[in-house]
Amino acid sequence: MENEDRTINTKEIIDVLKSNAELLEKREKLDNYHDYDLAVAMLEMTEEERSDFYRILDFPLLSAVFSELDPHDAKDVLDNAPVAVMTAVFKGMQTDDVVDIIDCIDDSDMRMAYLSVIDAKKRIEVKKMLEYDDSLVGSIMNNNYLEIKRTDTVKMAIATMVQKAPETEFINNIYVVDKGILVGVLSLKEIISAGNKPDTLIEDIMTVKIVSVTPWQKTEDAIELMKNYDFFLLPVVTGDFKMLGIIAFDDMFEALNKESDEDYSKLAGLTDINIDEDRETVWTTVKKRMPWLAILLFINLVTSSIITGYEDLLSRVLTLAIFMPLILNLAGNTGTQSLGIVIRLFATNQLDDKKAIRKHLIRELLIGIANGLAMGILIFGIVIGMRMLEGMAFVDVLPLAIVISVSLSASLAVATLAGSVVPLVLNLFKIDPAVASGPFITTVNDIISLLIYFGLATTLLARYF
Amino acid sequence: MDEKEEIRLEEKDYIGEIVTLINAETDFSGLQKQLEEYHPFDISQALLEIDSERRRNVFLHFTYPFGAAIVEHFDSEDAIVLLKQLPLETAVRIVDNMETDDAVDLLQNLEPKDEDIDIISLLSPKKRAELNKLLVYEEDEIGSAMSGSFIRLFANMTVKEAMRKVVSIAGDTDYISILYVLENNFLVGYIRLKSLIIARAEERISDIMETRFITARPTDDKEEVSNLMQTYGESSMPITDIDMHLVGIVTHDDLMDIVSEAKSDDYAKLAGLTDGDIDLGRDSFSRAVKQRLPWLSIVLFLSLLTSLIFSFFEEALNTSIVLAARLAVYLPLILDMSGNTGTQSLAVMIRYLNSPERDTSKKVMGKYLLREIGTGIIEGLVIGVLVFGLVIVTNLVSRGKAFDAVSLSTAVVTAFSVFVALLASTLLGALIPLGMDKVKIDPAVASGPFITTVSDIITLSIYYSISLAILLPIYQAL
Repeated sequence: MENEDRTINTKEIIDVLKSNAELLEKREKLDNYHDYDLAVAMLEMTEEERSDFYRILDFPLLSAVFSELDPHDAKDVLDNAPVAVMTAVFKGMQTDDVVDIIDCIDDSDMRMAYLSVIDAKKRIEVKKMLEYDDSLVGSIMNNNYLEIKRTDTVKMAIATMVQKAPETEFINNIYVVDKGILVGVLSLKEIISAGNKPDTLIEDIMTVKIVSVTPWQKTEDAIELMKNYDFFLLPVVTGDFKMLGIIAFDDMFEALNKESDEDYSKLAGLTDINIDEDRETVWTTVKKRMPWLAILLFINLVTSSIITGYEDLLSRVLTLAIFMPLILNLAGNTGTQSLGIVIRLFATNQLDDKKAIRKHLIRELLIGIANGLAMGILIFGIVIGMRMLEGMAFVDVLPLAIVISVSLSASLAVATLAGSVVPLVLNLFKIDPAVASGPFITTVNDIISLLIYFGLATTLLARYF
Repeated sequence: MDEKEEIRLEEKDYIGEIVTLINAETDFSGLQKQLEEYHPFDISQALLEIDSERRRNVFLHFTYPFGAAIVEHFDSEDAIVLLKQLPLETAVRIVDNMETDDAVDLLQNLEPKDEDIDIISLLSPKKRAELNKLLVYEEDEIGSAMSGSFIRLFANMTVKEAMRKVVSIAGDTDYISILYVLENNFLVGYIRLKSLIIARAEERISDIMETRFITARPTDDKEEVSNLMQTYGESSMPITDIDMHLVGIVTHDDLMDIVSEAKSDDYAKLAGLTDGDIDLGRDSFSRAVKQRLPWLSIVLFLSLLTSLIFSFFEEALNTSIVLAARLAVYLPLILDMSGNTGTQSLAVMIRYLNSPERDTSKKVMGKYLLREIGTGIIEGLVIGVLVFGLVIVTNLVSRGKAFDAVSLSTAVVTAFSVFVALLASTLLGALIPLGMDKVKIDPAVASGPFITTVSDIITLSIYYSISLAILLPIYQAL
């Protein structure tokens, strides 16, 4: 339904381009469509239609249309666009959107070529932002905000607003800056409501309890603040509160999506969870998934060699093999659960001191023991029940049931702890904690559980067979 | 870079300041004046830190709107605890002053045995009507999250008239960035406050408003609406009935809640947790166990199926104990590999199905599944070849013979089983969520623990049927 709507819009937009109407009339017609629809249509146009399109839209609008595109698509379209169009598009675009596009270019000469068409002032900002890591606030901030002085009156502030509004994307908050330092914030609502007392000084009505971030904080911090305070914009300042820029809600969503995609990929053992249907091929898919599979295969050599050591025992008690997948699967899943928690705790900075880590590990151990006991008792009953139904005597089943249930309990307890300890240790040694992904933990837990299971079986069952 | 990352703002501890402030007071009558400077979120967090008797007293001294703004930032559970402490009249007035969608959240979380009926029936008629309008929607429908606190303009107003209306009611309105334009009660357009501010005073709203807009129905799925809002980058979206009567709007902060809830839900399911909201400071031990035990129990019972299937092969395996032990050696490896490929393709599919870019038309899905098959074949081939080498080497080490019939046949069969198992798991990982999506079940339900267990069952069946069919005669002849 939605997709159909968009296809219809695209067709209508291209029809407008092809029509015989005057340029101005076409512009007015196109103006009726949402920037996003225009952007989608632009991707479908031929080069010829596109050059008409550039001519018809005036430039601030063209920048807005390009901002709606996925940065990769925007880059592809710009690659074929005349330099004048590129210059104009970048001129009207928010700095962080320009950065996203430049970030898509791998070739350094191409990067230089792109940077050279951006006007000098913006270029310096873009270069600065390119240096921020993707996970930091600096990479998503922009400077498209409104600034007033503390000594302004409400009337002067409204005048500034009216004058600057056309070129400022967000005026929901207005920032009071004194000698470069952020000293206060006013919401648009507050200014408008103060409109009937035009002589009031801004410093008398501004909020001074400012909530802000630095560009070197994790985007996750900013997301948390904006969520808690229901903010639309969040100011970015230096350590000594010099105003640098803002984060807008739409960039925040991008950051939120990216952040959660990373956690999700980590858990699933992928290098990247996102697919772009138009670009994805078997090859790119394999590249994302194969690294982990290959690594796991080699770690699994350990599991195979452990079992080789117990081949003799297995050939005497085949039932051991029957419950092996069950124990491994449960241990693997419980490890993934506690890994899932640790990844989130890392991302939200909840594990930043020794005390918190110790407390968390003790808790994990207790949870592991509790879950282990619960599952152990369940499986004990099930094994006894199943085998007795098959006509075996209770005393004959007992040793096996004990081995299976005790191993399961112990494996779950250890696996739960391992799911937290392994990523923490890797983090300690400054190894990218992404290594501790779901599949990795599962395999480590396979090894641990097998050792417990067969170790216990040898000790307890050996004298029966 | 590492040093720079450390730079954080000198924590402005507003919450701590407020706690100190409240604890220093004995008489709370002047407290509200002192607190008005702070954001309601900080006040709410501070109030959760002080003891509950004090908290109750503080609330008795707040005006209702001020108290309501703070309660809006409480979790439903905390809010309910507080409201029950307060005299009924105060509790009712506070709910009366809350944003309607927050009040709905709260009332939906009241246990049936609680006095929610009382609260609702005691509310002001206006609020009660608004509440009842929202309470008819399910929690996953966008209607339950919409708000009525925005500004309606009329198409025949002049800019001047419109501006006067905005100025007079902006203070009591939650969302003013976009103003909605009505004509005979129908939604006909919208205008940004920014554009209104710069427009000429005598222009008509109908001449300057935007007339192409996207809307949603109140019964639409929350996540679908949030995807649409993200795609269009809008900070609000009007909700209309089928005749374009405006019934409410959804704003960026609702969007934020929907998106982060949906994401953490998907994540939790992949990790096999019942709840993805993780807060070390607050989560109790029993909550943590409850978060994990349900999935573990499900996995236990599903895994019994694995054991059950295994026991079907038991009889055949008993005829060659050597083979039985040999096969068990590679079992964890094969199960692990195929479980992981399954998880990978499942995760990608779930994310795709829940993303704004989703497109489940036959054409796209056909291409998608073909690609998964291709991926499965390549992965299966590569891993299969590696496993082949592995088995040969193991045989060389343990039996001293690498290329005799037993070693070669075991290697071929194991490698082939890996190939088939990886291909099957890759495809299943994509098909299961897709199938669930087709029958309108949230695909994330088929998540981490579920797929690894299903893949265990399938893989085990493949491995043992192929191996027994080919290897049993060879091993029996030994």
